[in-house]
Amino acid sequence: MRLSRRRRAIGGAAAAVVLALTMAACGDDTSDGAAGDSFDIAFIPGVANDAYYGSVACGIKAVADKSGSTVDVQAPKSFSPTDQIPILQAVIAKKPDVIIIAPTDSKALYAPLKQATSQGIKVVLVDTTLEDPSLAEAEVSSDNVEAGRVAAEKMAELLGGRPGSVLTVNLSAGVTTTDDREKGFAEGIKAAPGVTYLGQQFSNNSVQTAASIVSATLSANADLVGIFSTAAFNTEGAVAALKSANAADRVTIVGFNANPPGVKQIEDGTVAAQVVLKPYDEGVAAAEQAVNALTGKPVTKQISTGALVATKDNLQTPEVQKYLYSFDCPAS
Amino acid sequence: MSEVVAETEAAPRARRRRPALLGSATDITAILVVIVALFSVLDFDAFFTTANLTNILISASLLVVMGVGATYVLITGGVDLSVGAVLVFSGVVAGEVMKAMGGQGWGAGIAGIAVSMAAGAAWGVVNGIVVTKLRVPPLIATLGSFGAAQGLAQVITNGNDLKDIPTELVDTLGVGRVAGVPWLVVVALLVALVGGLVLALTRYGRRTYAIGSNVEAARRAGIAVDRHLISVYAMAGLLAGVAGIMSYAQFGSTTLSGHSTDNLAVIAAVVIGGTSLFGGVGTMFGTLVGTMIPAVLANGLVIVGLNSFWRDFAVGVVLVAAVYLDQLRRRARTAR
Repeated sequence: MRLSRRRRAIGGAAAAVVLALTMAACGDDTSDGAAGDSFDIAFIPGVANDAYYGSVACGIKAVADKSGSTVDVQAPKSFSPTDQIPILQAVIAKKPDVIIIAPTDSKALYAPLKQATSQGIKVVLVDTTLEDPSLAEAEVSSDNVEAGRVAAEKMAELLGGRPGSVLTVNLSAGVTTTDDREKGFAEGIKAAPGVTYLGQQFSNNSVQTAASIVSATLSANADLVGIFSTAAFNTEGAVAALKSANAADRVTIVGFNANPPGVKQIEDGTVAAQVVLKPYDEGVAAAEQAVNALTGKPVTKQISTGALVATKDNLQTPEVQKYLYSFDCPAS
Repeated sequence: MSEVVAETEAAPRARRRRPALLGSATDITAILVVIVALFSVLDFDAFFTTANLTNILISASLLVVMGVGATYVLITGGVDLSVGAVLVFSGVVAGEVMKAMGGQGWGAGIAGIAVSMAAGAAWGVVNGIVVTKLRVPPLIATLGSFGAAQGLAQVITNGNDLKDIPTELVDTLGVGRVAGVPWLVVVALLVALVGGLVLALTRYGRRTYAIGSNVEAARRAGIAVDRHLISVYAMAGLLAGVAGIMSYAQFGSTTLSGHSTDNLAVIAAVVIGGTSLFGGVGTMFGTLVGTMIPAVLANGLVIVGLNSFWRDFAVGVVLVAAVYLDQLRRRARTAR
């Protein structure tokens, strides 16, 4: 009697695994389209559930569809090499033709990616890059220094000469993209009259930490007038902290997030402006270079895509709409 | 003890030796075999290759090392939530020391290993003292040191991941291989082997079980319970320190934010492996199997083209099933 119950429990656990396999398999579509030069493309974003990478994936898929290639997207659950490397290794075992990856660490990803290239798998870096990118066919990134500078200009414009302190809430140190955003912003904000730049604080991509950084800064610097947030979670944390401190009216936030929640923040007016990168263009460029490398065409080693700033005024224009981040790919 | 029910009538004497070797891990071993077989059937060429199986072992090696310590802690009826943070802290302290020593060469590398282990052991001793002498429940004591160690690591580094590590250490412990087997895996298996033998065959191991089964009886039998518990927590900390230098060598970075859920992963692995949360029961072999299940799932699900999030779902179900089995066994025992 008890024995059979035990058996049932084992069966249950095994069934759960099978269920996970089969249920998810339903959503998995690996139909091979046209023959000829079609490839298996693997895309490993920096983290899951981020519409930014959704747009990158959209760009990759748009190019892949043209040649009937397949795109397999596998995302780590946190923006960390400890989560990303095991996924990368499993992807390598599948031997795709090319891996398009947004490395979560400029150094830690080098050795495993080297493993991929030594097995003849091409590697294209998208969005983030490596300290030594020589193993990659191409690296596509946003010009984040420039984007930071654009953000600083917008901040100065929005402040309109109001004096006070400005703080940057950054992600984690050592992430090339966000480090560059801060660098550009720090340079740009110097030109703003009457602004004291307080430098940056790191949230490690936690909403709570970002919120506590902002509320602590508010109590320490009563003259805080502006916050530059380099990533989505930071903006959400900053908005929450300002709300609870009743300081939303006097502090201007320039965010860095054209995700659906970020767009809503502009509509609500909780965030004055969002810097919009062009992840869709990144995805397109990365996939194009990947296909070039696979078909023996000349490859552009370095490509950088631009940025624009969305505010309430220009939000509905098609130019801005096209680049807002989304998992739903725009009809091309 | 899993065979208790099945073998009550058949072999009451043989049962006494079984727990030490395989014991409660038989069911879960069967599940692991089923999972491996499933993935092999679905995509043999990608999954069942030496290179890929080695990758799975590499990705599990840090958790195995921490799991060995956690097995002891859980068998005493305690819990250690601090391991992931202690791992990061140990790596950071080792990194600072190696940087101060010039950052390159075997001298710095060996000092780094020693410092990392010492830093981990120090946190373990603190945990042990807080649990035994200050009588703070292990859950709270180690939750406290989890936060404290993570915080201190960030204070020391100012939130910047350290990346200075001697290339000698990266080329051996980090990515090097002995006879085709990665150093990381060799270290993990050695730690598990020694840990398992000590647990199964020595007086130290028997005392660990005794304390977990009935702490008052152990005390009356003359076991220095406090001293033993402190040594168990110290060992768990020391092993987190070992994992710390392994992680640093593997990733070439202190990965400050990369280990925040390691503690839960380790506890889940140990419990899946048949160690009872209530203490007194558990084997090292079970912990090995329990660590491999999430690692195999994470790898296999990606290979068959599914989102690796399904791992969380599957591991969750396996975890609950494992504890349910533990409950069945406990009921069977008390019914006798």
